[in-house]
Amino acid sequence: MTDHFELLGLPRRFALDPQALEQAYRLRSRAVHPDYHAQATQAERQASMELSAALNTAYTVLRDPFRRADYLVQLLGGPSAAEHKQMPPDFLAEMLECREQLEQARGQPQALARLEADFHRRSQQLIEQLGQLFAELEQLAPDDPRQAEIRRRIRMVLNAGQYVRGLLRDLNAGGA
Amino acid sequence: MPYSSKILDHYNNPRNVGSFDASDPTVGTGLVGAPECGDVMKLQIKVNPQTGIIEDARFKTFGCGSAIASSSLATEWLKGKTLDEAMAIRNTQIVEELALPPVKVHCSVLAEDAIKAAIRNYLEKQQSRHETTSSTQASTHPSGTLAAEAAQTSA
Repeated sequence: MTDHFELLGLPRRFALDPQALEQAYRLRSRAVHPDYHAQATQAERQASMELSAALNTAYTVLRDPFRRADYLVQLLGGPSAAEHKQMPPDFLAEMLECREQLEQARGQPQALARLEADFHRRSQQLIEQLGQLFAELEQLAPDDPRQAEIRRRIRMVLNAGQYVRGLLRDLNAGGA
Repeated sequence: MPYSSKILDHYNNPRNVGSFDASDPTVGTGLVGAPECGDVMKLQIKVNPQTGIIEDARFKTFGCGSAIASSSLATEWLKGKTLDEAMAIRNTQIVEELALPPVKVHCSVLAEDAIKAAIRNYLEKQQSRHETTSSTQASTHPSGTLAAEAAQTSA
């Protein structure tokens, strides 16, 4: 099966030029757009519609750094989100603290804005860590036993990203 | 989604919300989380070191109603139990008691994990206290069996 990178003609890497992605997606989508295939047979139209949908999915996944990393780490052999959920106690304590801060900041727009900026900064740092870990991975030979450990660390960064995303979601939801 | 009256009761009137001093040697703290929803749960037990009975429990959960209800129920159940009895609490009992819907079963798993983490934390503390007080004369003893076991299960 063709993976999302192949489908868009991009190298299978975490580091990705957003413009190259944009361009590859636009060019390929236009070529398979159902409007250009009005004269085609039913089967051909069906095929181009399926390809169009696959391009949309590939683009959506690769555009988001967290989803791109999640997808890539699974292509490379995992662990998947279900296979590795454990996080270090220090991290959980930090998340508990963030949750408490969020609770206390309710109803105070300035405090909430500060927290939002802090959560976004955390998110950005995690994306940078993903970049470093994938770069480390690329330095290793495919059969290097250290690969699995780095992939496990990538999963932990992705887990951390999920917690931070939850914080941002609840901050913006304004409830709870 | 239909929630049972027990879930709603624990959610609206959570029992034993709060914290103990985590540095107290008679307190065990369990901190667990679920990356898929970003929930964080802290559960603490206060143990009588003489009897080994859990005398009090507290929790603080940031998450959905089912996660709050599961941890609230867990603290109620923990009080008066021995550590062994507490260790035997299963998430399925929580599911049954609260009539948790299938999509919320993971909340009860989180509560069970938190109970076990709190007990392990308490045992590790007791172990290290024991080691520091007896380290002068008991250097030949194989040390840290309990703590090592606890560390293994948590890994």
